[in-house]
Order: sequence, then structure tokens, then C-alpha cells
Amino acid sequence: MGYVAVKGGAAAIENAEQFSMIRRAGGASELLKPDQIREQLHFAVDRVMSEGSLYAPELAALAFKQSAGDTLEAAFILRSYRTTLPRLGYGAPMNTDDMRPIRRISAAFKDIPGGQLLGPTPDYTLRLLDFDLQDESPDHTRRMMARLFKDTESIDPLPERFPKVVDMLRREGLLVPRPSAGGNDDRLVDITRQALTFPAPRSAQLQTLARGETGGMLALAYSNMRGYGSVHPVIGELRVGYLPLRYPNPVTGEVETVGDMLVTEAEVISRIGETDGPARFSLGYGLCFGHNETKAIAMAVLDRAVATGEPATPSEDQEFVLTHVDGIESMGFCNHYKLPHYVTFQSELDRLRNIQAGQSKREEIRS
Amino acid sequence: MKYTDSEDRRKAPNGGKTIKSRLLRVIGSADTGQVAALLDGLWASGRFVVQRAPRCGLIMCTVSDPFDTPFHLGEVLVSQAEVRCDGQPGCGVVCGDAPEQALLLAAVEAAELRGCAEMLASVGDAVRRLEQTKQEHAARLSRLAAATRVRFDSMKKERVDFDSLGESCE
Repeated sequence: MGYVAVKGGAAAIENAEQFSMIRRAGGASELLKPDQIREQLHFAVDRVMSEGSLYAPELAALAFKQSAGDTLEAAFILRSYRTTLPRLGYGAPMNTDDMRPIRRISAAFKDIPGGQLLGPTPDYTLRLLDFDLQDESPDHTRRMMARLFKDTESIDPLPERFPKVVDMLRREGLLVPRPSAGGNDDRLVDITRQALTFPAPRSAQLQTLARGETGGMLALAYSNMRGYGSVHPVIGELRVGYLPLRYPNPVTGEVETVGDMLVTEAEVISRIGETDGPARFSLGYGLCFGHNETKAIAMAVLDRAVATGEPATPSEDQEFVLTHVDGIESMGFCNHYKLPHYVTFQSELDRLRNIQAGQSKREEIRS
Repeated sequence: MKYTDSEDRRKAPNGGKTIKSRLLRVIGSADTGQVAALLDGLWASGRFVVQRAPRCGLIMCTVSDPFDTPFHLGEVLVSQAEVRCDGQPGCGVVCGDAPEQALLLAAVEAAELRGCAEMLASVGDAVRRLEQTKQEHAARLSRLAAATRVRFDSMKKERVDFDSLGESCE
């Protein structure tokens, strides 16, 4: 069987695209504005930014609208757009000690310096449908906000910074000095410029996880926590807050804060680390764009899991984890099977028919 | 590159902060019309030339983990522009797709480096108003967050030594 070149389908593709647009926007309801998505569906926008690896809330909201709510597609669109822009440079290295938190909790200690701040979270409320939202009135929301602001007028604002809980463990000598993943490879690599090789340096590992897909990372981390692995995490500290972006001014050379980014950070304390020295806790680290606690915790669990000396399960294998967590790659590979595989399938079909014909012939000879 | 000679000229009475650095902190809260009006005021002097039109680009954000290992968290969309004031270059970089904000920042920097702070009176006024608005907004949000601070009632107090963090808790 030879290859036969074919072409066609352009009109069908154009019509399919229009049909898709009509499915999104052809209904009777008012059309969504990106601003509404950015403000009111902020978890989705944050997820798209984090998985698209581009902090741009307005564009992420637009991508979410364009993809009709498919976060994988939206992240893909955002990451594609990113490739059209020049890289102006690298930000000055930052420490998350500079984060201005709006949420900060610890599952390790009840009373932490600065206190536990629940922040904006539905974590402690029942998952019951709120039918009032079907007909939410802007006036009612404004009144509620005004009352809330008035009720909190007498409360002292938070300090700009809080000490870190795990710093206390470190100063007491209770934490391993550094994880063993990637050996002692401290190179700062950029996986958008350099291909990932294994064992990957720690910087490549964290960058890959930071842009990983939430669901994929959660599945791998969950497998580890459930028993296909050895990480039994305690959340030392989980923070959601604003991190300043610092960049050297091209004219003056001075490092300036050019904006803030909302990020989520998780530091998980795991079982006693595998070190030759004194027994210590080990630490897993997660940090991602936006407010996405599930991803940050899953990242921290995986960061700790791949530090296991002898990987016994998939989630402990650095190469396995890092090559499967990217949403755009995995979604792209999965969906490429929708593309025509006419030639390969015809080849399989021919082979199967030949095998069956051969079997029939042998059966005839036997009988 | 580091500038030296213009450093003294940029010293502002407001805690040593330049108008540019103060503007940078609040420009995100300014609306498009406000920024456009300030730019129009500066352009009217005829002393500014746009050296490089605003463009969007990416800055890779680098963060250190708790073990002080730096890594790249991801890229941030920024706008950048360059403006000259009587030949003195100034650069504006700001988060987001905000071309006019980048131009204003660049123009203000160029004017300050050129030693023409008197041209920036209207910008200084706008900055003061924006600072006040932003401060009020930030304080309101901070108080909201503070209202979610947990006060535990327990039968027995937990004793943890947080001295190493500079604070002891009981």
C-alpha cells in the first residue's frame, strides 16, 4: 500500500469554527466580558495563568472566554500568545519572605507568630448550592460590602510581612538542609530555553512543576499520599499573597518594583529525611501563579516525593513526574489521536487481514 | 548600567523617593483617561521625544525556594517604553498591557533625570491622590484579611518556642 496525498476540508473547518462560536455566544444570555471573567471567575483565570506560565490576568480571562471555559485550551492559547512576545529580560531574584499575604495557615502549629489568617476562602463552608446566586443583585452585594467594611473599620491592618513557620524548624536544626533531587545541581536553568534532561537540576524541576497542570499533578500527588509513595505531608505553611516583581531599569540600572503578582505558596513537612546525619524533617515546596492551593500543595508533595533516594513508585520518579505534568503537552498528545491516522490504520488493517487470511489457510490445510 | 551624576538631581523631598518610583507604586490604580491627560500635559511642553514606542514583552520571574535555590516561576506580561526629555533618556516598565502607563513612567523618569522636576507638578498631584486612594483601598483589604484571623479557644495553652523567629507565642 502506498501513500496517497489528499487535501480538503477547509470549508468544513471554517464552518466548524463558526459553529463553535455560535455554541459559545449564540444563546439568549448576555455576552460575557473578559473583565467579568477576570473578577468573578478568578480561580479559573489564575489556573489558566499558572498552567499557561504567563502572568497576564486580562489575557487569561480572554483566553478562558475564547475557549468557552476549557482551562486546558485557554492555557494553550495563552502559552501560544507568549511565543509571539519578546523576552525583555529576567526579573531580579526574589524571596517569598517579601510576600504580602491575604491568607496564611499552618496545619503544623496552632499558634503561629502573626496568627492564622483564613483570608478569602470557602474552605470552611458547606458545599451546598446557593440558589440566591441565581438572581444576585448588585445592590445587595454593594450593601453587604459596605457593611463588612464598616464592621472591620476598627481592626488593625495586617503587617506587610510575616515570619515563616518553617524558618523556626530550620533554625532549630530540625529540617534537612536541602532536598536530594537533582543531586547538588544548583544550576539555574530555564526550561523554556533549554531542553529538560535527567536528573534535572532543582531549578528545572520547580519550574516544570510551577507550570504543570493542576489535575495531573493532583493525581500523581494523590497516588503518593494514598500509599503509592511515602509522603505524609503536614502543611507547615500555606500562603496566598502578593509578590512584587522587581526588574532592573534599562536606563538607570536601579531595580524597580514594576508590579505585583498573586501567588500561592505551600511548604509541606514530611517524614524524617533520609540523611546520613541527625534525624530531620524533610520539606517539599510548591509555588504557583494565582490562587490555586490544590496545585501548590500537590507541587510540594511531588517536590518532596521525587527527592526519595530510590524511587519505588511513579510519583517518586523525577523523570516520570516531570515528563507527565505539563497540561499542554499531555492534552496535545491525547488530542492528536483525533487527527487523521488513515495511513497507519490502513496499514494495521492490511496486516490484520493478512494474518486472518493466513490463519484460514492453515485451518483449511489442517482440515 | 548605573547612573551616578544624575542621582543627586533626582532626590525628592518625599522621603528621598522620586516621583517615578512613587508613580510606579500607584499607576495600576490610575484609569486610562487620567494617564492620557497627564501625558498630554507633558507632551504639550514640546521637550519630549518618544525614543521607543511602547511594546509588550515578557519578564521571567525568578524566585528562591526555602533552600535558597533560585528557579523561574514563569513569565509576566509587561509594557516597556523609552522617552527622551531634552535628550535625556528615561524608561518605563510596568506589569500588564499598559502602553500609556509605560510612556508616562518613561517621560517622568526622563524629566527627573534631566532635572526638570518643575514640569512634573501635575503628575506629583495625581500621584498624591492615587497614593491616598491606594492606601485606603489597601488598608480596607488588609483589615478584611485581619478579620479572618483565627482566635482559638482551648482548654490548655499550646507552648511553642518561636523565639528563633523573634517572637514567642503561648
